[in-house]
Amino acid sequence: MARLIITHQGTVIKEYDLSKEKVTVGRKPSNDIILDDPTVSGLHAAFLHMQHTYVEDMKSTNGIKLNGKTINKRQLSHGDLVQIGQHEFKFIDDAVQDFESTVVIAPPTQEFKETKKPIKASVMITQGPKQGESIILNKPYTKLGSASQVAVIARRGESYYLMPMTGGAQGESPKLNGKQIGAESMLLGHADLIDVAGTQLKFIIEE
Amino acid sequence: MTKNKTPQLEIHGLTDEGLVRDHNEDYISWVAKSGLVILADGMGGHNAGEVASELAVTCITDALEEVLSPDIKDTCEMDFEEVVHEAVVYANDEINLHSKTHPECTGMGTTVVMALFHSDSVILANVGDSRIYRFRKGELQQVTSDHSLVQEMIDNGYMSEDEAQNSTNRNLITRALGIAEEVKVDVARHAIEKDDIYLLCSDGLSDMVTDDLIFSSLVKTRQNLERGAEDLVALAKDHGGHDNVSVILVACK
Repeated sequence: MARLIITHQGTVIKEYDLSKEKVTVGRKPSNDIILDDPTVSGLHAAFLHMQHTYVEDMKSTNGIKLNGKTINKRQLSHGDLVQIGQHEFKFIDDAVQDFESTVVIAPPTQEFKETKKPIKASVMITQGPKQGESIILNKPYTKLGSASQVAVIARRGESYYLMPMTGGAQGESPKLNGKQIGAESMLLGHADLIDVAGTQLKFIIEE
Repeated sequence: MTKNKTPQLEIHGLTDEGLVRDHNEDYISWVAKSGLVILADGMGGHNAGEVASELAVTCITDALEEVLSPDIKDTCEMDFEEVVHEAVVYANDEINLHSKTHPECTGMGTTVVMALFHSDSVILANVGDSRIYRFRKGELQQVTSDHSLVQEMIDNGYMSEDEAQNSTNRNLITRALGIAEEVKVDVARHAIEKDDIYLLCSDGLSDMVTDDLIFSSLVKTRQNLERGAEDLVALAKDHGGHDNVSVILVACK
């Protein structure tokens, strides 16, 4: 038995057993699988289920993708992911399926997507015993300072924030550009100055 | 003198290949002094599954290491739910990066469940179908929700819990770390009580053994968590042991 598991934006919409030789997919009601999706053509694709299972683009406007690559016609293997418009079809072949092996029903990592250029950020000690040293901010959280006073820089996506630190042994909170930080996260910009535990640091973004 | 904000915990964990698999793709770790407990169940061809699960656990541990140092954890008020969320997102980024730069690891992924005990609460996070149960006052409750096809079908009313138990679709998960650039992480904070026991487990336990049997095991072994972990792993193997099985038990003292 072979099946298709149909998902839209990560939510499973239905499961379709491939019990006949040709199963059509499209927006029109005449199809076996009807997708209410403006990016899907009237008749968009067909699954051909014989000894093996194939997927074929029926000259659709937006085409179909198999595991992230645009294709015209291909044989399917267990676990393959076919993208039709904004819908995804996971092909499950129970004959092959090893009951124990976990399969993820989700879009694969987009291999052709241009990889984001990672932003490199660091803080350089401008005043204090370790003047001139740099700390590279390559983790989600980086601690600055010592037991007497601490600050944490948080990385969120491509931005860096000085996290609010309240209460406890701190007494005074660290300073950003000469002002004590309050209860809000502060977005850091290039050349911002941070004062913590008697040390001054400069935030640096390398483009 | 500041108060130690990590509650007093007793932690025991165990991971086992099971009876069928020839290698273990699960990975478990904990840092008792920080109140941090993590379990991951990897997947992917060749040996990539264990690469993914180990990366998940080590990245989360690394990401949290500095913010969980006593000078911060015990003295500062922070949004630990966000901190945990960001640590899991970081692990997802690192696993993706590793897949891209190591062709033999393409397609690998992993589930993750974690618990961070802080003050009078625990912050739980999960992605995939590994689980956290809480045993409190003679009751066992699953406190995470599986990201699996079966669970979605139950949630949408297509399937009953009983039907789910026998479904052949139990191995299909809807979320994992390392399979896409974006990941949706469930994060929740729960109040803890003295004598609570938290069980983190991979599906090697929960697919083999019913909740009732897990409950009976904990009733029997709750005074001795080391034996408790051994008992749960033995239970999974007695009921087939088809998959790797991992458990971590945490008791709040």
